[in-house]
Amino acid sequence: MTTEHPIMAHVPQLRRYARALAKHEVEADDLVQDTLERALRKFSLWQQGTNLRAWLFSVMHNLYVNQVRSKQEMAPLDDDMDIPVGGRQEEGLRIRDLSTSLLALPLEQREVLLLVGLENFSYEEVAQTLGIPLGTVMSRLSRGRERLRRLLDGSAKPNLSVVI
Amino acid sequence: MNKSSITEADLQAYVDNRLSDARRGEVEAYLAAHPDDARRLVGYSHINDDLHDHFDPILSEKIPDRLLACFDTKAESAPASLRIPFASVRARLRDLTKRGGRALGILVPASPVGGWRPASFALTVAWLSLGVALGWQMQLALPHNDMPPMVRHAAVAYATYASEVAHPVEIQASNEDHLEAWLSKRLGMNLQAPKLETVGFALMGGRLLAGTHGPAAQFMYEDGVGRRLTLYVKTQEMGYDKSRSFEFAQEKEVNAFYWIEDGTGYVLSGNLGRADLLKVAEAAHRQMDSLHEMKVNPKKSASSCPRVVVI
Repeated sequence: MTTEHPIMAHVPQLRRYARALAKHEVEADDLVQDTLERALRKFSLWQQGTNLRAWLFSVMHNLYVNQVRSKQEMAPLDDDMDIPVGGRQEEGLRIRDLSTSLLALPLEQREVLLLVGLENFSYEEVAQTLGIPLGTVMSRLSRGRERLRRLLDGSAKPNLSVVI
Repeated sequence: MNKSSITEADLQAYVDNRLSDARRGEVEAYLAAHPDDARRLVGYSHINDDLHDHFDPILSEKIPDRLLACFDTKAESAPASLRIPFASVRARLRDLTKRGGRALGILVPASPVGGWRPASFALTVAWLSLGVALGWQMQLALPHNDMPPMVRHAAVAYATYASEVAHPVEIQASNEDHLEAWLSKRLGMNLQAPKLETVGFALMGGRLLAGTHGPAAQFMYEDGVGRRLTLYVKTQEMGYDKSRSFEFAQEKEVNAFYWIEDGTGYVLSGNLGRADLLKVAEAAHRQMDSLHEMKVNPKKSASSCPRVVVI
Protein backbone atom coordinates (compact mmCIF):
# COMPACT_ATOMS: atom_id res chain seq x y z
CA MET A 1 0.00 0.00 0.00
CA THR A 2 1.23 3.41 -0.81
CA THR A 3 0.04 6.62 0.74
CA GLU A 4 -3.38 6.18 2.16
CA HIS A 5 -6.12 7.82 0.22
CA PRO A 6 -7.81 10.60 2.21
CA ILE A 7 -11.15 8.86 1.76
CA MET A 8 -9.85 5.79 3.55
CA ALA A 9 -10.04 7.49 6.93
CA HIS A 10 -13.79 7.89 6.53
CA VAL A 11 -14.60 4.29 5.71
CA PRO A 12 -15.43 3.20 9.28
CA GLN A 13 -17.87 6.08 9.70
CA LEU A 14 -19.42 5.42 6.31
CA ARG A 15 -19.93 1.81 7.31
CA ARG A 16 -21.47 2.75 10.61
CA TYR A 17 -23.86 5.16 9.01
CA ALA A 18 -24.76 2.76 6.22
CA ARG A 19 -25.46 0.02 8.74
CA ALA A 20 -27.83 2.24 10.60
CA LEU A 21 -29.42 3.48 7.43
CA ALA A 22 -29.86 0.27 5.49
CA LYS A 23 -31.88 -2.80 6.20
CA HIS A 24 -29.11 -5.29 6.70
CA GLU A 25 -25.41 -5.72 6.71
CA VAL A 26 -24.87 -6.78 3.13
CA GLU A 27 -26.97 -3.99 1.81
CA ALA A 28 -25.03 -1.60 3.99
CA ASP A 29 -21.64 -2.66 2.72
CA ASP A 30 -22.95 -2.65 -0.82
CA LEU A 31 -23.90 0.92 -0.25
CA VAL A 32 -20.47 1.72 1.15
CA GLN A 33 -18.84 0.05 -1.78
CA ASP A 34 -20.94 1.96 -4.28
CA THR A 35 -20.12 5.12 -2.40
CA LEU A 36 -16.40 4.45 -2.44
CA GLU A 37 -16.41 3.54 -6.08
CA ARG A 38 -18.23 6.67 -7.03
CA ALA A 39 -16.30 8.91 -4.70
CA LEU A 40 -12.96 7.60 -5.92
CA ARG A 41 -14.06 8.02 -9.48
CA LYS A 42 -15.30 11.52 -8.89
CA PHE A 43 -12.65 12.52 -6.43
CA SER A 44 -11.45 15.30 -8.70
CA LEU A 45 -14.84 16.91 -8.26
CA TRP A 46 -14.32 17.25 -4.56
CA GLN A 47 -12.93 20.67 -3.84
CA GLN A 48 -9.85 20.65 -1.71
CA GLY A 49 -10.36 22.49 1.49
CA THR A 50 -14.05 21.76 1.67
CA ASN A 51 -15.61 19.22 3.97
CA LEU A 52 -14.62 15.79 2.66
CA ARG A 53 -16.78 14.00 5.17
CA ALA A 54 -19.87 15.93 4.16
CA TRP A 55 -19.07 15.30 0.52
CA LEU A 56 -18.72 11.54 1.06
CA PHE A 57 -21.92 11.29 3.03
CA SER A 58 -23.61 13.31 0.37
CA VAL A 59 -22.47 10.80 -2.26
CA MET A 60 -23.85 8.03 -0.10
CA HIS A 61 -27.09 9.88 0.48
CA ASN A 62 -27.68 10.34 -3.23
CA LEU A 63 -26.90 6.74 -4.02
CA TYR A 64 -29.14 5.47 -1.30
CA VAL A 65 -32.05 7.69 -2.14
CA ASN A 66 -31.83 6.61 -5.75
CA GLN A 67 -31.65 2.97 -4.78
CA VAL A 68 -34.59 3.24 -2.49
CA ARG A 69 -36.52 5.10 -5.11
CA SER A 70 -35.74 2.57 -7.76
CA LYS A 71 -36.90 -0.16 -5.46
CA GLN A 72 -40.00 1.88 -4.81
CA GLU A 73 -39.54 1.42 -1.16
CA MET A 74 -39.90 5.07 -0.52
CA ALA A 75 -43.07 4.88 1.45
CA PRO A 76 -45.17 7.87 0.54
CA LEU A 77 -45.48 8.71 4.17
CA ASP A 78 -46.26 12.24 4.96
CA ASP A 79 -43.88 13.71 7.45
CA ASP A 80 -46.73 14.68 9.65
CA MET A 81 -48.48 11.38 9.54
CA ASP A 82 -48.05 9.96 12.94
CA ILE A 83 -47.64 6.44 14.13
CA PRO A 84 -50.12 4.82 16.41
CA VAL A 85 -48.79 4.93 19.93
CA GLY A 86 -49.95 4.42 23.45
CA GLY A 87 -51.94 1.53 24.78
CA ARG A 88 -50.70 -0.76 22.06
CA GLN A 89 -48.06 -2.61 23.90
CA GLU A 90 -48.02 -5.62 21.65
CA GLU A 91 -47.16 -3.52 18.67
CA GLY A 92 -44.63 -1.66 20.71
CA LEU A 93 -42.92 -4.84 21.76
CA ARG A 94 -42.68 -6.01 18.24
CA ILE A 95 -40.77 -3.00 17.12
CA ARG A 96 -38.78 -2.19 20.17
CA ASP A 97 -35.48 -3.04 18.63
CA LEU A 98 -33.61 0.10 17.75
CA SER A 99 -32.71 -0.97 14.23
CA THR A 100 -36.25 -1.98 13.50
CA SER A 101 -37.63 1.20 14.90
CA LEU A 102 -35.18 3.24 12.87
CA LEU A 103 -36.39 1.57 9.73
CA ALA A 104 -39.92 2.54 10.66
CA LEU A 105 -38.97 6.18 10.25
CA PRO A 106 -39.30 7.91 6.93
CA LEU A 107 -35.91 7.92 5.26
CA GLU A 108 -35.55 11.67 5.35
CA GLN A 109 -36.04 11.70 9.12
CA ARG A 110 -33.80 8.72 9.63
CA GLU A 111 -30.96 10.34 7.74
CA VAL A 112 -31.07 13.54 9.74
CA LEU A 113 -31.45 11.75 13.03
CA LEU A 114 -28.46 9.52 12.29
CA LEU A 115 -26.21 12.20 10.92
CA VAL A 116 -26.79 14.29 14.02
CA GLY A 117 -27.13 11.68 16.73
CA LEU A 118 -24.72 9.06 15.49
CA GLU A 119 -22.29 10.82 13.20
CA ASN A 120 -22.18 14.03 15.20
CA PHE A 121 -22.62 16.24 12.19
CA SER A 122 -23.34 19.85 12.92
CA TYR A 123 -26.77 20.93 11.78
CA GLU A 124 -25.14 22.99 9.07
CA GLU A 125 -23.18 19.99 7.84
CA VAL A 126 -26.37 17.97 7.68
CA ALA A 127 -28.00 20.69 5.60
CA GLN A 128 -25.01 20.72 3.30
CA THR A 129 -24.84 16.94 3.03
CA LEU A 130 -28.49 16.44 2.29
CA GLY A 131 -28.92 19.61 0.30
CA ILE A 132 -31.77 20.91 2.41
CA PRO A 133 -32.29 24.14 4.35
CA LEU A 134 -31.27 24.30 7.97
CA GLY A 135 -34.88 24.76 9.05
CA THR A 136 -35.77 21.51 7.35
CA VAL A 137 -32.94 19.76 9.15
CA MET A 138 -34.33 20.94 12.48
CA SER A 139 -37.90 19.97 11.74
CA ARG A 140 -36.94 16.55 10.46
CA LEU A 141 -34.73 16.01 13.46
CA SER A 142 -37.51 16.97 15.80
CA ARG A 143 -40.10 14.81 14.07
CA GLY A 144 -37.77 11.89 13.67
CA ARG A 145 -36.73 11.90 17.29
CA GLU A 146 -40.24 12.16 18.55
CA ARG A 147 -41.41 9.38 16.34
CA LEU A 148 -38.55 7.14 17.31
CA ARG A 149 -39.01 7.94 20.98
CA ARG A 150 -42.61 6.89 20.83
CA LEU A 151 -41.73 3.74 18.97
CA LEU A 152 -39.17 2.85 21.59
CA ASP A 153 -41.40 3.86 24.46
CA GLY A 154 -43.97 1.53 23.09
CA SER A 155 -41.62 -1.18 24.19
CA ALA A 156 -42.09 -0.14 27.81
CA LYS A 157 -38.81 1.56 28.22
CA PRO A 158 -38.81 3.07 31.70
CA ASN A 159 -38.35 6.59 30.53
CA LEU A 160 -39.84 8.12 33.63
CA SER A 161 -37.19 6.92 35.95
CA VAL A 162 -34.45 9.15 34.66
CA VAL A 163 -34.06 12.79 35.38
CA ILE A 164 -31.70 15.18 33.73
CA MET B 1 -35.34 35.60 30.66
CA ASN B 2 -38.08 35.13 28.18
CA LYS B 3 -38.95 31.46 28.36
CA SER B 4 -41.28 31.61 25.43
CA SER B 5 -38.32 32.40 23.24
CA ILE B 6 -37.08 28.85 23.69
CA THR B 7 -37.72 27.09 20.41
CA GLU B 8 -37.93 23.48 19.46
CA ALA B 9 -34.59 23.94 17.70
CA ASP B 10 -33.11 25.03 21.01
CA LEU B 11 -34.42 21.90 22.64
CA GLN B 12 -32.91 19.73 19.96
CA ALA B 13 -29.62 21.56 20.24
CA TYR B 14 -29.76 21.07 23.98
CA VAL B 15 -29.99 17.32 23.45
CA ASP B 16 -27.01 17.49 21.13
CA ASN B 17 -25.07 19.69 23.51
CA ARG B 18 -24.65 22.39 20.93
CA LEU B 19 -25.78 25.42 22.85
CA SER B 20 -23.71 28.17 24.31
CA ASP B 21 -23.47 28.07 28.07
CA ALA B 22 -25.79 31.03 28.34
CA ARG B 23 -28.41 29.53 26.14
CA ARG B 24 -28.04 26.21 27.83
CA GLY B 25 -28.85 27.82 31.17
CA GLU B 26 -31.98 29.33 29.68
CA VAL B 27 -33.10 26.04 28.29
CA GLU B 28 -32.53 24.30 31.59
CA ALA B 29 -34.62 26.88 33.35
CA TYR B 30 -37.32 26.32 30.79
CA LEU B 31 -37.18 22.56 31.22
CA ALA B 32 -37.48 22.87 34.97
CA ALA B 33 -40.82 24.47 34.36
CA HIS B 34 -41.87 22.09 31.60
CA PRO B 35 -41.50 18.53 32.80
CA ASP B 36 -43.16 17.06 29.73
CA ASP B 37 -40.56 18.62 27.51
CA ALA B 38 -37.84 17.55 29.91
CA ARG B 39 -39.05 13.99 29.78
CA ARG B 40 -39.17 14.12 26.02
CA LEU B 41 -35.60 15.36 25.83
CA VAL B 42 -34.41 12.59 28.09
CA GLY B 43 -35.89 10.19 25.58
CA TYR B 44 -34.02 11.92 22.77
CA SER B 45 -30.83 11.77 24.71
CA HIS B 46 -31.33 8.06 25.22
CA ILE B 47 -31.75 7.67 21.50
CA ASN B 48 -28.36 9.21 20.89
CA ASP B 49 -26.80 6.94 23.48
CA ASP B 50 -28.55 3.91 22.07
CA LEU B 51 -27.38 4.72 18.58
CA HIS B 52 -23.79 4.82 19.72
CA ASP B 53 -24.11 1.68 21.80
CA HIS B 54 -25.67 -0.09 18.91
CA PHE B 55 -23.59 1.06 15.97
CA ASP B 56 -20.22 2.19 17.32
CA PRO B 57 -18.83 -1.34 17.41
CA ILE B 58 -18.82 -1.17 13.61
CA LEU B 59 -16.09 1.44 13.81
CA SER B 60 -13.66 -1.09 15.17
CA GLU B 61 -14.62 -3.87 12.81
CA LYS B 62 -12.11 -4.93 10.24
CA ILE B 63 -12.93 -3.23 6.98
CA PRO B 64 -14.01 -5.88 4.48
CA ASP B 65 -11.54 -6.62 1.73
CA ARG B 66 -14.00 -5.75 -0.94
CA LEU B 67 -14.13 -2.21 0.38
CA LEU B 68 -10.37 -1.96 0.64
CA ALA B 69 -10.16 -3.26 -2.89
CA CYS B 70 -11.98 -0.15 -4.08
CA PHE B 71 -8.83 1.77 -3.31
CA ASP B 72 -6.66 -0.50 -5.38
CA THR B 73 -8.12 0.75 -8.57
CA LYS B 74 -6.93 4.23 -9.09
CA ALA B 75 -9.61 6.84 -9.19
CA GLU B 76 -10.97 7.48 -12.63
CA SER B 77 -8.91 4.73 -14.16
CA ALA B 78 -11.77 2.41 -14.78
CA PRO B 79 -15.49 2.66 -14.39
CA ALA B 80 -16.81 0.87 -11.38
CA SER B 81 -18.67 -1.41 -13.67
CA LEU B 82 -15.41 -2.88 -14.86
CA ARG B 83 -14.20 -3.86 -11.47
CA ILE B 84 -14.99 -7.17 -9.91
CA PRO B 85 -14.49 -7.26 -6.20
CA PHE B 86 -14.40 -10.93 -5.64
CA ALA B 87 -15.02 -11.06 -2.00
CA SER B 88 -18.49 -10.07 -2.95
CA VAL B 89 -19.37 -11.73 -6.15
CA ARG B 90 -22.74 -12.69 -4.87
CA ALA B 91 -23.55 -9.31 -3.53
CA ARG B 92 -22.30 -7.72 -6.69
CA LEU B 93 -24.34 -9.94 -8.89
CA ARG B 94 -27.39 -9.30 -6.82
CA ASP B 95 -26.62 -5.65 -6.99
CA LEU B 96 -26.38 -5.78 -10.74
CA THR B 97 -29.64 -7.56 -10.95
CA LYS B 98 -31.14 -4.47 -9.49
CA ARG B 99 -29.63 -2.24 -12.11
CA GLY B 100 -30.80 -3.64 -15.35
CA GLY B 101 -28.86 -1.21 -17.44
CA ARG B 102 -25.54 -2.18 -16.02
CA ALA B 103 -26.42 -5.79 -15.87
CA LEU B 104 -23.83 -6.95 -18.31
CA GLY B 105 -21.39 -4.23 -17.73
CA ILE B 106 -18.75 -6.09 -15.81
CA LEU B 107 -18.41 -9.19 -17.76
CA VAL B 108 -14.93 -8.29 -18.76
CA PRO B 109 -12.07 -8.76 -16.36
CA ALA B 110 -10.44 -5.58 -17.43
CA SER B 111 -11.01 -2.41 -19.26
CA PRO B 112 -10.76 -3.09 -22.98
CA VAL B 113 -8.23 -0.32 -23.29
CA GLY B 114 -6.34 0.03 -20.08
CA GLY B 115 -5.95 -3.57 -19.16
CA TRP B 116 -6.03 -5.15 -15.78
CA ARG B 117 -4.62 -3.14 -12.95
CA PRO B 118 -2.09 -4.97 -10.89
CA ALA B 119 -4.14 -6.98 -8.51
CA SER B 120 -3.62 -6.27 -4.89
CA PHE B 121 -2.64 -9.05 -2.61
CA ALA B 122 -6.07 -9.07 -1.10
CA LEU B 123 -7.72 -9.23 -4.45
CA THR B 124 -5.42 -11.98 -5.57
CA VAL B 125 -6.24 -13.96 -2.50
CA ALA B 126 -9.89 -13.38 -3.16
CA TRP B 127 -9.53 -14.63 -6.71
CA LEU B 128 -7.75 -17.71 -5.60
CA SER B 129 -10.08 -18.52 -2.79
CA LEU B 130 -13.01 -18.13 -5.10
CA GLY B 131 -11.53 -20.67 -7.44
CA VAL B 132 -10.68 -23.04 -4.64
CA ALA B 133 -14.02 -22.59 -2.98
CA LEU B 134 -15.80 -23.45 -6.16
CA GLY B 135 -13.72 -26.51 -6.37
CA TRP B 136 -12.98 -26.46 -10.02
CA GLN B 137 -10.58 -29.14 -10.95
CA MET B 138 -9.14 -26.90 -13.45
CA GLN B 139 -6.09 -24.94 -13.93
CA LEU B 140 -6.22 -21.66 -12.20
CA ALA B 141 -4.61 -18.59 -13.43
CA LEU B 142 -4.56 -15.03 -12.39
CA PRO B 143 -6.87 -12.68 -14.15
CA HIS B 144 -5.69 -11.82 -17.56
CA ASN B 145 -6.30 -8.70 -19.40
CA ASP B 146 -7.37 -9.60 -22.83
CA MET B 147 -10.92 -10.80 -22.85
CA PRO B 148 -12.06 -10.19 -26.37
CA PRO B 149 -14.83 -7.65 -26.83
CA MET B 150 -16.87 -10.35 -28.53
CA VAL B 151 -17.53 -12.02 -25.18
CA ARG B 152 -19.38 -9.11 -23.81
CA HIS B 153 -21.15 -8.61 -27.07
CA ALA B 154 -22.22 -12.22 -27.11
CA ALA B 155 -23.50 -12.04 -23.56
CA VAL B 156 -25.47 -8.92 -24.31
CA ALA B 157 -26.94 -10.62 -27.34
CA TYR B 158 -27.79 -13.63 -25.19
CA ALA B 159 -29.55 -11.46 -22.67
CA THR B 160 -31.40 -9.67 -25.41
CA TYR B 161 -32.66 -12.62 -27.39
CA ALA B 162 -32.77 -15.58 -25.02
CA SER B 163 -35.50 -13.87 -23.05
CA GLU B 164 -37.41 -13.10 -26.21
CA VAL B 165 -40.71 -14.94 -26.38
CA ALA B 166 -42.07 -14.05 -29.77
CA HIS B 167 -38.91 -13.95 -31.87
CA PRO B 168 -35.97 -15.53 -30.12
CA VAL B 169 -34.51 -16.51 -33.48
CA GLU B 170 -34.61 -15.05 -36.92
CA ILE B 171 -34.62 -18.37 -38.74
CA GLN B 172 -36.03 -21.49 -37.16
CA ALA B 173 -34.15 -24.74 -36.80
CA SER B 174 -36.75 -26.30 -39.09
CA ASN B 175 -34.97 -24.40 -41.79
CA GLU B 176 -31.52 -25.33 -40.62
CA ASP B 177 -29.94 -25.74 -44.01
CA HIS B 178 -30.99 -22.30 -45.04
CA LEU B 179 -29.89 -20.89 -41.71
CA GLU B 180 -26.42 -22.36 -42.00
CA ALA B 181 -26.02 -21.43 -45.63
CA TRP B 182 -27.11 -17.89 -44.98
CA LEU B 183 -24.90 -17.38 -41.95
CA SER B 184 -21.97 -19.09 -43.68
CA LYS B 185 -22.30 -16.69 -46.54
CA ARG B 186 -22.54 -13.64 -44.34
CA LEU B 187 -19.64 -14.66 -42.15
CA GLY B 188 -17.55 -15.93 -45.01
CA MET B 189 -16.91 -19.31 -43.45
CA ASN B 190 -18.35 -22.74 -43.49
CA LEU B 191 -20.59 -22.60 -40.48
CA GLN B 192 -22.59 -25.42 -39.01
CA ALA B 193 -24.61 -25.33 -35.85
CA PRO B 194 -23.20 -27.98 -33.53
CA LYS B 195 -25.51 -30.80 -32.48
CA LEU B 196 -26.01 -30.55 -28.80
CA GLU B 197 -28.78 -33.07 -28.26
CA THR B 198 -26.35 -35.39 -26.51
CA VAL B 199 -25.98 -32.81 -23.81
CA GLY B 200 -29.68 -32.05 -23.74
CA PHE B 201 -30.02 -29.00 -25.93
CA ALA B 202 -31.88 -28.75 -29.21
CA LEU B 203 -31.28 -26.10 -31.81
CA MET B 204 -34.03 -23.48 -31.94
CA GLY B 205 -32.56 -21.50 -34.78
CA GLY B 206 -30.31 -18.55 -35.23
CA ARG B 207 -29.86 -15.00 -36.27
CA LEU B 208 -27.35 -12.63 -37.71
CA LEU B 209 -25.89 -10.02 -35.39
CA ALA B 210 -23.89 -6.93 -36.01
CA GLY B 211 -20.62 -8.01 -34.40
CA THR B 212 -17.91 -5.92 -32.89
CA HIS B 213 -16.14 -6.00 -36.24
CA GLY B 214 -18.35 -7.30 -38.97
CA PRO B 215 -21.22 -9.72 -38.70
CA ALA B 216 -21.63 -12.44 -36.12
CA ALA B 217 -23.90 -15.46 -35.94
CA GLN B 218 -25.98 -16.52 -33.00
CA PHE B 219 -27.36 -20.01 -32.66
CA MET B 220 -29.88 -20.56 -29.95
CA TYR B 221 -30.58 -23.80 -28.14
CA GLU B 222 -33.12 -24.87 -25.59
CA ASP B 223 -33.37 -27.83 -23.26
CA GLY B 224 -36.36 -29.73 -21.98
CA VAL B 225 -37.03 -27.33 -19.17
CA GLY B 226 -36.73 -24.22 -21.26
CA ARG B 227 -33.20 -23.18 -20.39
CA ARG B 228 -31.64 -21.42 -23.31
CA LEU B 229 -28.11 -21.16 -24.56
CA THR B 230 -26.59 -19.24 -27.37
CA LEU B 231 -23.50 -19.99 -29.36
CA TYR B 232 -22.05 -16.85 -30.81
CA VAL B 233 -19.67 -17.17 -33.70
CA LYS B 234 -17.58 -14.47 -35.19
CA THR B 235 -14.75 -14.40 -37.69
CA GLN B 236 -11.68 -12.22 -37.75
CA GLU B 237 -11.22 -12.57 -34.06
CA MET B 238 -7.50 -12.11 -34.32
CA GLY B 239 -4.95 -11.37 -31.70
CA TYR B 240 -6.34 -13.65 -29.03
CA ASP B 241 -5.71 -16.92 -30.69
CA LYS B 242 -3.11 -18.11 -28.27
CA SER B 243 -4.55 -20.69 -26.03
CA ARG B 244 -6.94 -22.88 -27.96
CA SER B 245 -8.69 -23.20 -24.66
CA PHE B 246 -11.92 -22.38 -23.00
CA GLU B 247 -12.12 -19.38 -20.94
CA PHE B 248 -14.91 -18.63 -18.58
CA ALA B 249 -16.73 -15.41 -17.97
CA GLN B 250 -19.63 -14.70 -15.72
CA GLU B 251 -22.04 -11.95 -15.22
CA LYS B 252 -25.32 -11.77 -13.45
CA GLU B 253 -26.90 -15.13 -14.10
CA VAL B 254 -25.18 -15.39 -17.46
CA ASN B 255 -22.20 -17.68 -17.65
CA ALA B 256 -20.08 -17.93 -20.73
CA PHE B 257 -17.30 -20.08 -22.06
CA TYR B 258 -15.39 -18.75 -24.99
CA TRP B 259 -12.61 -19.93 -27.19
CA ILE B 260 -10.93 -18.85 -30.35
CA GLU B 261 -9.68 -21.03 -33.13
CA ASP B 262 -7.95 -19.95 -36.25
CA GLY B 263 -9.34 -16.49 -36.06
CA THR B 264 -12.90 -17.58 -35.34
CA GLY B 265 -14.28 -16.71 -31.96
CA TYR B 266 -16.95 -18.70 -30.16
CA VAL B 267 -18.90 -17.73 -27.09
CA LEU B 268 -21.33 -20.10 -25.45
CA SER B 269 -23.58 -18.17 -23.10
CA GLY B 270 -26.34 -19.30 -20.83
CA ASN B 271 -27.77 -19.10 -17.39
CA LEU B 272 -26.66 -22.60 -16.56
CA GLY B 273 -24.32 -23.59 -13.82
CA ARG B 274 -20.71 -23.56 -14.79
CA ALA B 275 -20.28 -27.29 -14.78
CA ASP B 276 -23.34 -27.86 -16.96
CA LEU B 277 -22.30 -25.15 -19.32
CA LEU B 278 -18.83 -26.61 -19.55
CA LYS B 279 -20.24 -29.92 -20.74
CA VAL B 280 -22.09 -28.16 -23.49
CA ALA B 281 -19.06 -26.07 -24.34
CA GLU B 282 -16.94 -29.18 -24.67
CA ALA B 283 -19.48 -30.78 -26.96
CA ALA B 284 -19.71 -27.67 -29.10
CA HIS B 285 -15.97 -27.20 -29.06
CA ARG B 286 -15.34 -30.75 -30.23
CA GLN B 287 -17.58 -30.30 -33.21
CA MET B 288 -16.36 -26.89 -34.19
CA ASP B 289 -12.80 -27.98 -33.61
CA SER B 290 -13.12 -30.92 -35.88
CA LEU B 291 -14.45 -28.60 -38.55
CA HIS B 292 -11.38 -26.48 -38.15
CA GLU B 293 -9.04 -29.42 -38.07
CA MET B 294 -10.48 -30.81 -41.24
CA LYS B 295 -10.16 -27.48 -42.86
CA VAL B 296 -6.90 -26.20 -41.51
CA ASN B 297 -4.74 -28.95 -40.17
CA PRO B 298 -6.05 -32.39 -40.88
CA LYS B 299 -3.13 -34.15 -39.21
CA LYS B 300 -3.46 -32.55 -35.87
CA SER B 301 -5.52 -34.12 -33.19
CA ALA B 302 -8.98 -32.74 -33.02
CA SER B 303 -9.08 -32.72 -29.28
CA SER B 304 -7.43 -29.95 -27.43
CA CYS B 305 -7.21 -29.76 -23.71
CA PRO B 306 -9.73 -27.34 -22.31
CA ARG B 307 -8.33 -24.93 -19.85
CA VAL B 308 -10.56 -22.79 -17.79
CA VAL B 309 -9.40 -19.53 -16.49
CA VAL B 310 -11.45 -18.23 -13.67
CA ILE B 311 -11.66 -14.56 -14.25
